[in-house]
Amino acid sequence: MFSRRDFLKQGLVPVFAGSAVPSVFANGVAAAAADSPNATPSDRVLVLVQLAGGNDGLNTVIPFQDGAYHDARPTLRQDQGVLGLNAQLGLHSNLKGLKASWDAGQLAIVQGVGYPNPSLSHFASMSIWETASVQGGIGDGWLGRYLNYLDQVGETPNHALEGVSAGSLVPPELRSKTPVTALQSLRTFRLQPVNEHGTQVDVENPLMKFYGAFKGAGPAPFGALFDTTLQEALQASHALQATDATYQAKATYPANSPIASSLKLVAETIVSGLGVRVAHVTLGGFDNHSREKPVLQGHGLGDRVLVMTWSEFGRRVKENGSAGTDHGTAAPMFLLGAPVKGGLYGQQPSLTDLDNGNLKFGTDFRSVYASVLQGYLKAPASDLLGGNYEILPLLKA
Amino acid sequence: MDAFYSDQAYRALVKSPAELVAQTLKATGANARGYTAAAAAMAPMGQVLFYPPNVAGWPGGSSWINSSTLLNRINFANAAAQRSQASMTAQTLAQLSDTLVDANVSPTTRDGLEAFAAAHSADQAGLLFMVLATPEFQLN
Repeated sequence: MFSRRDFLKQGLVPVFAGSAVPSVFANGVAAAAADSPNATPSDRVLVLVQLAGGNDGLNTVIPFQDGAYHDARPTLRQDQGVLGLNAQLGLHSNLKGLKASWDAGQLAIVQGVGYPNPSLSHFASMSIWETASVQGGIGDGWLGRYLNYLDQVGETPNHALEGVSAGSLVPPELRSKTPVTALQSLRTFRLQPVNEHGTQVDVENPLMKFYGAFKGAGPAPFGALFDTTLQEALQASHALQATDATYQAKATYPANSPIASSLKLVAETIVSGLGVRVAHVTLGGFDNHSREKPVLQGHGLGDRVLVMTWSEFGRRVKENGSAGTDHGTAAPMFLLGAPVKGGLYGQQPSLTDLDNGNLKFGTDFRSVYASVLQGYLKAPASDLLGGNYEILPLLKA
Repeated sequence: MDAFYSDQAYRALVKSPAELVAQTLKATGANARGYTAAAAAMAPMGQVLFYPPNVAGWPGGSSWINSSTLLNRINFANAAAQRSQASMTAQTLAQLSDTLVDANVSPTTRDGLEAFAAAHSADQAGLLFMVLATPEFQLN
């Protein structure tokens, strides 16, 4: 997981431009858009950015005119430099990139997003957001169900790279019957040959046979998983190696940064038309019980890429005794990019009409998911979410 | 004893990166001084020691296996086998298979390993790697 500290140090959030890595990412995505200006719905890419730990919505989209905000946040409040969205609300002063997107009409902010009977536990709440079910659990993720749907309707241009994630683990949102590729670096994302006294011995074919045979052999439930995973990995690896040989990065990536390497690969897979439908990036370190500072910075992206952020919960309205905030409930979600109809959506939660010190949510997160599935990805939202949720007019047709 | 070999128990668990790395290093005769490197090797396999994804710990099981982690598991075995080439005592395929995979692999894999051993008789590290890269070794 990328640490919040890394991003603070570099002054950026990866998919949102600002410094070397993200501008490359944004450039790549913009290049992809330029390559295919008339992208059909199935070419559309959703980049999901998880702000892990619970992002403090009140210090991201700041109700700077609200006396209750100033009372509740004696040390954490931002008095100066709020980037005004309207007469009452502003973005934190560090979020200049996001403000530029806002000015360009490419940022939609859905306020007060949450769900009924909120859980204040990180993993229970994450699981609820990941599966789009208030029961949580370990079933397919909500985007995993979208990948399954693409399989059913035959939209599988490059199976292994349909869902990609930056990092070493497949996030639960993408858990599905479709193999999902976790991308760390090109160097590690390939099968190394055996070096026999200076001669390279290829081991791909024998290993493919071993894994193919094991699929039917053992009583183990993992045989098929191992076999499919190896096949998909090698297929994806070959596609990426071929792409990388011709890919010209539009900026320099920091040499030793695993974040940069991961993001470069994700950007590459999108730009190179390898069939990415859903990409996932996790930013860690939003769980600021003490010494909290805001982190997001933003930038515009291409036509066929929509970026959406989520976090498992917001923070409590009142700050705690160590200049931090404890686990809360409702928070804003950001949708960013050319497909977005910029503006504010949902209700600004009241800072005085609270539920045990926490904001009351106004918009169910599944309503945002449904809007993206239906309005952008053109998928049957109610089937994939197991219910009907209000479609918000967040996106262009 | 039979219970250990029952379908419910035998190869019913995916080795965690920590188990995989420890067993690989033991098999290659690596010394304990490389423990920080060993810990670092687990990260790309999805496990940073003492840093679970959340307070519930690592979910384990099939979640250890994705395209990236599987390639990392196999490549780690390759690198570990290469590194220990000089210090390794020669072992036959039968010995390796007995210690590492309970002398129980699919017929295809057994034939493949025998063919590798015959074709690369001087390459002890390569043979060790091939055993460590089997699907059987990925499980406990």
